[in-house]
Amino acid sequence: MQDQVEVRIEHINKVYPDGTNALKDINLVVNRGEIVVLLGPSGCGKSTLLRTIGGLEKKTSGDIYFNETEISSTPVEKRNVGFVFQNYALFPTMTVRQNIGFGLKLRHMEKSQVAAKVESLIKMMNLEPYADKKPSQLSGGQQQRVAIARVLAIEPKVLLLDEPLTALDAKLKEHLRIELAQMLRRLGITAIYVTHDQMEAMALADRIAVMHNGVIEQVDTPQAIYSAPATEFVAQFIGQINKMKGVAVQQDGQLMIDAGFTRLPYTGGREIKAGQEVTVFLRPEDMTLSDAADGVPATVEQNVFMGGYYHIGAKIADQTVYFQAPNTRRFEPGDSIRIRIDNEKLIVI
Amino acid sequence: MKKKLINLLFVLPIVVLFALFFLLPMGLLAMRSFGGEEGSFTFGNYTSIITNARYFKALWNSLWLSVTVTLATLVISGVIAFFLARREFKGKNLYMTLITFPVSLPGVVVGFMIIILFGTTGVIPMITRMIFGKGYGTFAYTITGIFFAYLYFSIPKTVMTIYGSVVEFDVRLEEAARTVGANEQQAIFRVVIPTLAPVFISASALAFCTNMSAFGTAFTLANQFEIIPILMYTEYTNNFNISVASAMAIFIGVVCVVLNMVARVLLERE
Amino acid sequence: MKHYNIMGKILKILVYALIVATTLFLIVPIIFTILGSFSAYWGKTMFSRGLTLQWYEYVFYYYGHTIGLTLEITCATVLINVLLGSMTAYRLTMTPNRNSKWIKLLEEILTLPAAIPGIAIGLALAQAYPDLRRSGVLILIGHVIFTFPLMFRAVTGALRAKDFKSIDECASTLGAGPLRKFFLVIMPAIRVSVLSGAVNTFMLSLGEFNITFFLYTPFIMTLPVGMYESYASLRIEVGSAFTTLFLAFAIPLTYLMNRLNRTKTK
Repeated sequence: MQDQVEVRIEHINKVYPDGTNALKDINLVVNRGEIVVLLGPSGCGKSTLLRTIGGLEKKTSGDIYFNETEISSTPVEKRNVGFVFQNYALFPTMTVRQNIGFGLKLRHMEKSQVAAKVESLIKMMNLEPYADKKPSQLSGGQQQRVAIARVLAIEPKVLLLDEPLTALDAKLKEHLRIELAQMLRRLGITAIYVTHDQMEAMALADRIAVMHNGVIEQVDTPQAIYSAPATEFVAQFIGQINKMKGVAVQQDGQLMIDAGFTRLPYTGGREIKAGQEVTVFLRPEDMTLSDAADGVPATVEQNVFMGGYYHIGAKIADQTVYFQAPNTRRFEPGDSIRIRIDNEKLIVI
Repeated sequence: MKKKLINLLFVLPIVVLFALFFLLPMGLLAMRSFGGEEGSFTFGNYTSIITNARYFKALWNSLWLSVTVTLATLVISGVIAFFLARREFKGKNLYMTLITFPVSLPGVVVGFMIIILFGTTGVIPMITRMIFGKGYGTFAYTITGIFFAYLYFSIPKTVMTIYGSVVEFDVRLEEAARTVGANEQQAIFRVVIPTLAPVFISASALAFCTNMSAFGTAFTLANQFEIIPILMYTEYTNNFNISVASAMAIFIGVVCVVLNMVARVLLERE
Repeated sequence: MKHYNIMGKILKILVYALIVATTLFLIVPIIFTILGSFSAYWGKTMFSRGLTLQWYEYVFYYYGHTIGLTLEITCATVLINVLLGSMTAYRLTMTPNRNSKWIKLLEEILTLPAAIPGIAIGLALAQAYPDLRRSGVLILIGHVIFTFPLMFRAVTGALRAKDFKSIDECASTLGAGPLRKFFLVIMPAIRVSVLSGAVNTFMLSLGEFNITFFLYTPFIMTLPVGMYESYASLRIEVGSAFTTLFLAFAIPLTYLMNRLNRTKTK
């Protein structure tokens, strides 16, 4: 295992000549051997950040550290980062072997050493049958393996992956997602991975940095991002969620959140005054159909049969929520039902 | 039935025109090129291009000239096209229009441009006279003049072709090379140029055949220097040597058609 | 490392020098041609004896007829090829069996004149139809044949680009016959490409020398042939006046062509 690298990004800003502010005061620490996923919608700046770390774009201000060395003025070819492109960018005139060995040849390695290293990578990525083929003769999945082998050959300090799975079809994506996650963990190289696909992010990341409009909204483990989103954007971007209105009230000397159908104490760390409006989020899986008396009364507004379940839209105390109900019982709009809500799972922002 | 007739009408005129005024004359030319003494069939006209000393010299001149001009054009145009494709600057559109304008000039005018530059009263001698007191560079009517004239019309065309391809080139291939350790020059020479090689070769093939068959330019400038097109003209008008002239015309024609096909195949493979 | 930087810097300077030199090489003679055409005497320095328009008078007097004739031939060539080129391209692109061997062969033959050197075509025509030379019709025919591939390719490209086959079929279902379809639907839709092809053809025919040189007579002479004569036998001032005249056509046309090409790619 080579020396692992910690990546520290401090106050990185990037402004384009036409004035667009692509990255706004980005701060992020990627620990040694960690896989951090930059997740966000298109245009949020995740690819720009990745490319800035890799040296393909120039920052406007701020610092980037690989361990103790500030590298933002180092030219890209000297940064020793392994950059995997979305479309793989394999050199079309070279065979798989030559593509993988390209970086090694540039380092003036001995021919025999290059061949040995290339061979071991070909074996590792299961590329033996394609070793002497050209990229145009390979499938998407095969090309991706070559792209990864090519960057691994130069023993990079940091792996930067720019949506490597986006170009593949759904089934292949699922399969490769797992393989990629296992491989990255096995290699132990610090990795920064960009995607807009939440499932990829959840499967691969040690931590996820959710980005929006050039800003990192939250950096946390996948579980925390899911169950404890810090901002409205993160709450709504990840998974399905219901958004409701609530109001802060003072009750018995304690600050409570009144969500219409229930009241709960506010445990968050924000400065909220009584009477202030807040947003209350609830995931559909935290709502279940219940006949018990502790269920909250609701009226069915719409139901759509989805095969394995019903997609129900119900009105609770003036607010509409959506959740899933088992397909064993039929519903009609106007039906009265009871929903059990796990108050622990309510998210207040 | 009427529809079929009208459809035919769309294509018929040009087919008739081509049959009468293209295929027929070319066929006749080919026939004449094989004509020997008293109407016999011979390859002699073609072989004479090599066996006849004067003819061979002209062939040699043509080949040598075309090769050197094509190579020089490739290098110069390549550099300019790369530079233009990778930089933005004010007036770039104007500059590109300016530099590709010579493509529309007839060969004779290009010859005249060289006379303007390198003739006895040309611009370059004028400048050198002002600086050094003596007029240098009066080689318009020599082989050097022809060389420069051919450069004059080859460079703009080749710049246009290469520029188009460089602009469409996927920058990420270059970036990928940079990230595995190649600096700018290495990326260009080891990745960009090999990937664009088909474009370079086909542009060269086209430039080569334009140079081989250029007539007006050399005619304006050449006095004693003979190349195949001029030789062909001389044989035709002065010596009425129709068979040999036809053979030369067919020879250059075939070379050009073959090179054109090569260029097309290379580009289609992209 | 330092070694590399110096090499890199020298390389950069050489590249810039090459670009500047080439640009000057291409542009300077054009400028001097235009300037020199107004000079009374082109000796050691250009305007040593003042300005004059006499060279232009000279050109008009001796070669004025070439201008008129050239324009006639060129305009006729453009008109003929706009019509024939588009018609043929349309018919061949819209055939149901586009990949038939015959169609491909026909397309090959129709674009062959672009690959064959002008001198070969000129010689062939002069040989085959010596009697037609006197009337100048042969020159027109030579121009049409030579420039046909350009128009043909332009229209074929335009038709293929936007999948006009569907539009054509739709027009048929609405009741339009081949002629109506062509003139009312297809041509208007591709008019920018046709226009750009027409301007291109105009320029090509205007400057055509190689073919014309084998087919001209002292009474039927085009602009380029006239220019050649002036270069060969007359003073450089006359040559530059004549050339400037040609440029007066060529420069605006090139500008027009670039504008059209730019709207096309939009």
